[in-house]
Amino acid sequence: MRPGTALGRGVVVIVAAFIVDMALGPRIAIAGARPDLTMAALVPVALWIGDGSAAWLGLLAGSLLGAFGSVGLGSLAVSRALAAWCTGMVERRLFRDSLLVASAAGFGALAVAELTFFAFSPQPDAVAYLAGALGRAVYNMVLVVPLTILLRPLFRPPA
Amino acid sequence: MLDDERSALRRKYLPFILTIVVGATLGVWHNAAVSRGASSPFTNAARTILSPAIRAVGGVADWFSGTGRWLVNSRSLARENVRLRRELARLRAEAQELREAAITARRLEQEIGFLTEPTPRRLPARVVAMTPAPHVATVVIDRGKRDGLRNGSIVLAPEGVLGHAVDVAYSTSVVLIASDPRCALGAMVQRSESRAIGICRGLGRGMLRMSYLSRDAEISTGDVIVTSGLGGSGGIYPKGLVIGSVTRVTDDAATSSKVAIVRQAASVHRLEEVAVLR
Repeated sequence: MRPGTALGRGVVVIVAAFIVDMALGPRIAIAGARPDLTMAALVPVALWIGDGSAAWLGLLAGSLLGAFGSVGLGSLAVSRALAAWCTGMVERRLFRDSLLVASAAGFGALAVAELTFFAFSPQPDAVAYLAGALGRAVYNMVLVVPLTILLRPLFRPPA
Repeated sequence: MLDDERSALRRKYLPFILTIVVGATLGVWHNAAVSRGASSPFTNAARTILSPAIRAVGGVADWFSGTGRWLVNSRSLARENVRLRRELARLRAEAQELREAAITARRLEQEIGFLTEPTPRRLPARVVAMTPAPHVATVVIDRGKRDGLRNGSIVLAPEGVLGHAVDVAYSTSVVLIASDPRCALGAMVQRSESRAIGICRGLGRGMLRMSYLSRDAEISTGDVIVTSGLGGSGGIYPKGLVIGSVTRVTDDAATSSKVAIVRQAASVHRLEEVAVLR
């Protein structure tokens, strides 16, 4: 698949995931932990399209979140771009099409994004913030598995 | 050889560096616009374009969950319907009595020469999205500049104060929830024997901390806290709007005053319709 086509599909996936996240997010929260569906969709896509394109998709995901949250847009955009770029780097070093790798990357990407965000915008209640981030990272780790299966035909069509 | 390596390194890191620069620029641009009381074209466009889609997906989910709930609980829903009809009749009667009392109070105030503030108009609005960003408690509503909103416009949920607008675009606005740590509002105890005044500041997760209460302030668990009309952050909240109820009262040794923990009355999680004061 040409890189441009993959990036185009990635943009559609990220925007669709963001729309679903904003519409359904509070309904699928478990024990106060609301997953970050956009990041969960970004992880398998980043693993398939590589670090450069993934960074742009991360920037898109963070900017959209910042546009709706209004506070910390720059920090959100930068932290998501960094997390997506790091996830894309995994593609160079590990077997890319593995559910196990995707699941671990789901946890790692959100952890990187939240810690980077925290470094740029320190929060008043650090313990609560980090506990919440851990809950979301675990939730995302699980969500990445079905999303990887769902999105695989779009980016890795069977030969 | 060295050139090849340099070029490979550039290819590897350039997209990342570019995204960081673009992200930081977007952030600075957005913050500058918000501090001017405006909204950046990017956030304006993103919210205007995506809000209808978010509302449509939410509507479909509501329909499915409503239908599913009806199929599972149709019997108990019928019983609940009867109970709610009775409660509605009782509340209607109570509202009628309160309306009469308000008219009497207003007449008496006019007779003794009180300066009465005009009642602000309530503009209904729909919640488009609840922001998933973990660091900030905001919701997006489908009213903006075209409806006369501005930064600081007060937004009410059915149960009481929700928050105030912090980023008003053409057709949407971001509302900062009162329990967010960035929000503070003048508050007082509603009970007529107390009327103790303080400042409520958000603690996150639907809780607020009411401080600057005098040491002998009469305040206890269960007391209803309303806005005092005496300032705070963002907009000035009119007097008498319900903020929440007291869950705990402690003494603050450092300032020799009382501190109360207040649970916000407005439930953010199942919010659909709100009202904006104009």
